[in-house]
Amino acid sequence: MSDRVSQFLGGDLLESYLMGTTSPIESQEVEYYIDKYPEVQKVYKELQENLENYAISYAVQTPKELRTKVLKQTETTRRRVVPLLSIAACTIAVVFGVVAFLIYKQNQVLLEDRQFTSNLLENLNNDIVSNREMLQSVEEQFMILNNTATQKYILTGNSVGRKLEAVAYVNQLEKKSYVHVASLPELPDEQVYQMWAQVDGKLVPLDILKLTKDNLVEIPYEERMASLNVTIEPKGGSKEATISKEVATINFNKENELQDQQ
Amino acid sequence: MKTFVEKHIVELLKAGDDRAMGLLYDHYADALYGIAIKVTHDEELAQDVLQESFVKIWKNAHKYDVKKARLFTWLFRVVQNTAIDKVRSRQRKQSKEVQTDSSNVYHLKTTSLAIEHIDVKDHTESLEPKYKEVIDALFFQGMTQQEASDELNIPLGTVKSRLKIGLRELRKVFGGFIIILSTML
Repeated sequence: MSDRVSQFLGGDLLESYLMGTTSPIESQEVEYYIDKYPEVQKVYKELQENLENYAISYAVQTPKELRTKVLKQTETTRRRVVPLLSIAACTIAVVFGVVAFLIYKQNQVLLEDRQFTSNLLENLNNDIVSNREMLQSVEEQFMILNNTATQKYILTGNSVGRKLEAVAYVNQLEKKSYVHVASLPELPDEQVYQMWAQVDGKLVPLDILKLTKDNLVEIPYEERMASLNVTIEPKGGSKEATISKEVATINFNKENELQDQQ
Repeated sequence: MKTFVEKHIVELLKAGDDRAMGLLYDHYADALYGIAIKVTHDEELAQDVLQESFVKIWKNAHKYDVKKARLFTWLFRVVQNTAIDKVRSRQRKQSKEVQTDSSNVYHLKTTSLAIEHIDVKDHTESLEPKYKEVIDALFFQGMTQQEASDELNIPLGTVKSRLKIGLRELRKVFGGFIIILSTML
């Protein structure tokens, strides 16, 4: 037996541990010795057996009715414990459920916000694209109008379409045509104004004429265009011009040609 | 040496099987009741102690560490502490009351020693009184070593040595009975 073990067994820590009167640190020390040294383990085992035998020597027969009383109470304790555990479990489940629901709702709100922001961003992007296209178109028109090769032609209505006022811009170098419709007499719903180009003696359909307010509208360019004509046609336009319903015409000859001074 | 019954009871306790309590009662109740009576000196109070202790044992079974103590050692501590608490609580209560009736004085009612333990009791009586009084004061009266020293009017060092020797003497006192007792529990 080592000195260390002898010293430990010579003290009273093991007896105090048996009595359950050691501090937590002392208990740790005792448990260390019991674990590590078989001699200490043996003595501790003997002390326990001695105490057990000593205590048993004072055993007193319990009253017969006590057994039922004691077991009934432990049984009741168990029954009481189970509902408490159930209640605790239910409470936790409910709290968890509520928290989960709140998180779900918050998540939904955030998703909606994100969708809204995403839509807004998309709209803004579309606006940017649209504005860029518009700017490009305006710049293009501006370039055309400023181009010295652009010719300006004023269309005025005849007696049928007296209020018709439009200006056509034709650039033969760039092969572009634009029209600006400032005023257009009203027509029944089933009729429209249609623009034609006279090419090699035939009227080629160009476009339906609409009020363009302050904007220029590009119209198809035709090579060898001798004149621009406007007729009243059934809704949707015609393939063949109704000459009898012509309301305006402009010939691209020198008499009608106006040089754009811009 | 752990008996088969002890192992079985521990397994049932750990599993939360209430059959453990029936077995525990049948095998340990008399010994634990004896401890409770020895501490309280009152059968009625000892019965309360036993009842309360069994509830504690049942509730705290998961805390019992088989590596740290034998089952009986653990049970002993539960009953000992419960009994000491009960006695102290009653003392506090009684100190506030005017003692006009002799019923306020502790008295031990007639107790019947469990028949199967009578032989063991004879052996215990053969332990020298100087050791017995120290062991009883510390284990059954809930005294600290200092309190035992004051109460028995012996130096603290003597209390310690008598406890140490007394517990070891018990081994000699019981001798061959240990094997028989182990098979009984």
